[in-house]
Amino acid sequence: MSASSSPNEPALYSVRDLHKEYQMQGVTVPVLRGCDLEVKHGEILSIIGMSGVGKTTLLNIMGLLDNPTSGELIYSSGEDKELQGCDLAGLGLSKKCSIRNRHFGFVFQFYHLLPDLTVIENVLLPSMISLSYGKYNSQRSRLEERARELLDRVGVLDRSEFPPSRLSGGERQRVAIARALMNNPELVFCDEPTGNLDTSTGDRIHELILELNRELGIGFILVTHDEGLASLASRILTMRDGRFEDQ
Amino acid sequence: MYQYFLSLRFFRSRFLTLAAFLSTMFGVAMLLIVQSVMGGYMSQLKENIRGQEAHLRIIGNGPLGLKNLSEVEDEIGSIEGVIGSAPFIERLAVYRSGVSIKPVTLAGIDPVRQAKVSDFASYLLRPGELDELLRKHHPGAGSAGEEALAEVDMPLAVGDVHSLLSDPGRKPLDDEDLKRFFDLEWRIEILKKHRPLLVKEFPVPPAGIIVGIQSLLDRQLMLGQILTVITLSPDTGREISERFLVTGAINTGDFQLDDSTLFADVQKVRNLLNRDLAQNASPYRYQGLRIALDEDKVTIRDLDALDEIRDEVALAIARSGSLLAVQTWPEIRSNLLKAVGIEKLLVYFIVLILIVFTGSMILLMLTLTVIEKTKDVGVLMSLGAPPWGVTNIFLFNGLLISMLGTGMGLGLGYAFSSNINEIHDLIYAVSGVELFPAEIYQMDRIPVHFYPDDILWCTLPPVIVGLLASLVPATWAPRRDPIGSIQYE
Repeated sequence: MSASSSPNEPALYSVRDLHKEYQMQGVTVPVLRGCDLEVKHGEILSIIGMSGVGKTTLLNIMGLLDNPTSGELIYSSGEDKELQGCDLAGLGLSKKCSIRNRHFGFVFQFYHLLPDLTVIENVLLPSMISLSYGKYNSQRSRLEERARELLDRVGVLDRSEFPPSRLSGGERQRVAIARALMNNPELVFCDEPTGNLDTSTGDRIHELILELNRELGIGFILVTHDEGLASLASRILTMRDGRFEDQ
Repeated sequence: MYQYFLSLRFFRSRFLTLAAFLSTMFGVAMLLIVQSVMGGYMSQLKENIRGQEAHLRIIGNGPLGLKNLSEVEDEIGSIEGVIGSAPFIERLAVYRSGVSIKPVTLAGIDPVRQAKVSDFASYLLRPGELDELLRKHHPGAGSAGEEALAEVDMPLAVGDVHSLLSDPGRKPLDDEDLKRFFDLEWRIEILKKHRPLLVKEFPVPPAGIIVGIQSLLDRQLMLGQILTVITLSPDTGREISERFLVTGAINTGDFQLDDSTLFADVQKVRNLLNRDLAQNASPYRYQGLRIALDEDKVTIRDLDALDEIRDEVALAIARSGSLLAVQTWPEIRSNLLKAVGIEKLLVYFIVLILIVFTGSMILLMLTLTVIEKTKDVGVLMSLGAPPWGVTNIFLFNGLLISMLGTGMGLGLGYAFSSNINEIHDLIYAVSGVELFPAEIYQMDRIPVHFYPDDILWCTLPPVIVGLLASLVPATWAPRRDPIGSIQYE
């Protein structure tokens, strides 16, 4: 199902012995208890499991939105030579933000489009964050062209000047996917991307993810309860009590 | 890039932003209006004081005043920038007219020389002008009975005096006009015209005296009236008195001066003071000397140049062997100028409270925006925005409100202050309320002056307050678990 990747090629992302604990009212609550995981370039990986087993925590730590208590996050970018076998957990805040902006994409269950911006402005946000004022303005027409291409690809080009409030749930999630792809990420983290959609709309999102993976070679990590979506992945990993079942 | 873009979007889409912007704008406008009016009042006051006083004043030590006048005049005459001088005497006195007694300052001046060192000539009313004013505002004057004592509309009368004296086309009195007030012929003419019954009693009328226009308008005194001025001998301390004839009127714009100063010829006042001398005592000379400087070299705002010449004059006087006090015009009236300066500062700080209020509006508005935008912040951080980038969004937002509000407030304040007299007239026409009575402030119109420093002090506080008010919510925004908030609807 996944886009092509050679067996000798190093993993895009390796998670090694990942632990995460929270302190709640003086009590240590372990959430991740030694997770190991490898994600190949252009792979679709599904992570399933009961609520509260640590799926979203794992996704947040892998997406550098949260810090692990211990463990390694080894990343080998296919594009950036500086990020070959680099442990992302040890990087500074500024570098983590930059990696999140240039190498990762995020799709959330509740879309989270900015209501004050139009659809196309939402899609352009990652490039606004990565570029300075001068650079953005000099590349503005090219970036807007790319945003329109992405909106066309996800099927909502005719809504590009609309505010998000005038879009349906499925359309909003398509825009969120287009936004996640704006900076050509290598890996997109999807947290219950169809969790808030009806079945037929969810199916169309499944098809879109498959299509993007096939055509653009972008890797997806899907955290989901949706068995239909999970079955699209090249690998399905089940989490239980803060680790993967087969570990 | 995104910081400016989102700041502008948040600015445009919030009603609270508009409220914070408007409160800043009106606060700054009020600050500038108050400062420009107080600045204008201060500026006008300085011009008035400068007009009443000369640039410098030398005061003689001891009871006998300035002893070596001609030597002092010779010494200071050679100083560059000194263009004239006028001797003067000022004594505390009372005048008695009929049954009424009033404490006054008896000022002895040489009217021609006094006019060379101050604006004395432009304060004096010509006999024709004075007659016309009194005819207009003393209804029935000259006829007997109740009608002659009809109440004078003082605001209207004072307003007319101001209009007359501030008319740019009116020429100040020349030397001949000035001399005339103390001339024998003029005194005889005044007496014949206004007190014909006294002509026989006074074939040679008493010395002339010029009084404040207020006292003529409100009928405390009248033209042609004979006063007895009583003071104390500088030598023996005994009571001495002299009769004077009211021959003219003056309006300096200073209520105290206009109400209770009598101007007489300096030689007549000298004669009066030397009337009661002990045996072998030296005669009283002059109290001091007023000195005029070249206006091209010493402008009203250039107090440093004024101080420099004062020091030169003091040095020259010391060389001549005298130890005399030399004062500049701001030093002579320093208490009044300080009081108005403090009043201006006080009003500034009171109005500054409004600016603090606008800062609290920005703080409230941004705090609510941060709470409302927590999910958006989470999304931005997931897209790679660093915490300081998020802080900048709200910081720019607050700064944008305070800077735009300040800019618009300065514009509004400038427009209001520039047209404040038209607005005053409109309020007067609609409500009949006179907000700036000329008879109280001795100014025809509300004075307005924009000092660069005042504009700076109207600009800096709102921008700094806006920045400080933005800092708290802006730094709070990335710290209130925005990532956690995007996991839930």
